[in-house]
Amino acid sequence: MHAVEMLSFSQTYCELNYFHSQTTFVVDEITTVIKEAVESTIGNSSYQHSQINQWMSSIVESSLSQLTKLGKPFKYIVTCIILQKNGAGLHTASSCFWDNSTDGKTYCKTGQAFHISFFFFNAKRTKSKHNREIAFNETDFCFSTGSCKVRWENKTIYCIVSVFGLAI
Amino acid sequence: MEEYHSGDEVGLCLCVFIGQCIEGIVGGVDYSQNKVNQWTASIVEHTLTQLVKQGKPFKYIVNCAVMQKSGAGLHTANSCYWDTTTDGSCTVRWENRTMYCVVSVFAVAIAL
Repeated sequence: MHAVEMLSFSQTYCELNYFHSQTTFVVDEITTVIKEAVESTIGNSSYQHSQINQWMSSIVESSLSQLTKLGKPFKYIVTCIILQKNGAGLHTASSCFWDNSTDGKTYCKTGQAFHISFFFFNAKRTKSKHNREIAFNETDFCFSTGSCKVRWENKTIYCIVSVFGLAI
Repeated sequence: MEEYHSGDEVGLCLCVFIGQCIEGIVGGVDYSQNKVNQWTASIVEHTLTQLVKQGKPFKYIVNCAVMQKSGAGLHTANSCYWDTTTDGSCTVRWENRTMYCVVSVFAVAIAL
């Protein structure tokens, strides 16, 4: 290939990469957003019943607003679960009917009592595909699937963050 | 059993399936650590299968959490960024003597 053609090819390639990153579900980016939202809200706080509603609202709202600021063509759903540590077992599972090529998920787990799931939807196409993940029990904290994990733990609470993404 | 839906037709339709699925799988049984993974997987798969069978132009996400009753606090919250005229959700909180079960279903319309 001649030099001029090489330059043109590499420019097109860069543009395509940029376009791709702007329209697809990028796990690392989402993870960063979630981590910041959780850390800024909970920090190293202990479980307090009186604070829970406020924490949950703050986390889901700040996460959602940061995600929408990314400016990507996604729909978002945020779910949050808080679990106080006292020996109880907690198990979660999810199954999704979406388009595997454009939609995705990631999970962030921290040691505080939040499980937050973000779902992003592609409204154009669909495939019958079960993406099932089984989440943790109180001792193992194992995910059978999931592309991202952040784990924190303190004395009184567990925190788990999950992210699902579907493009518009 | 407590139900909450997003206040429109989409959410109402979802609620019907969820309650039936939960009762069919964990109704009347006690919490068992050995079986709980199987239960959660069954609930989400069964619910999703029933929803897809309806043949409506939606994408679905089904989320299920089962927690042992031991006095610990459990809180859940959902927030959605979507088209409120076409999309909907339903969350069902179910309990028996030994466990809580929270199932959320989100349905997002496909643009045809």
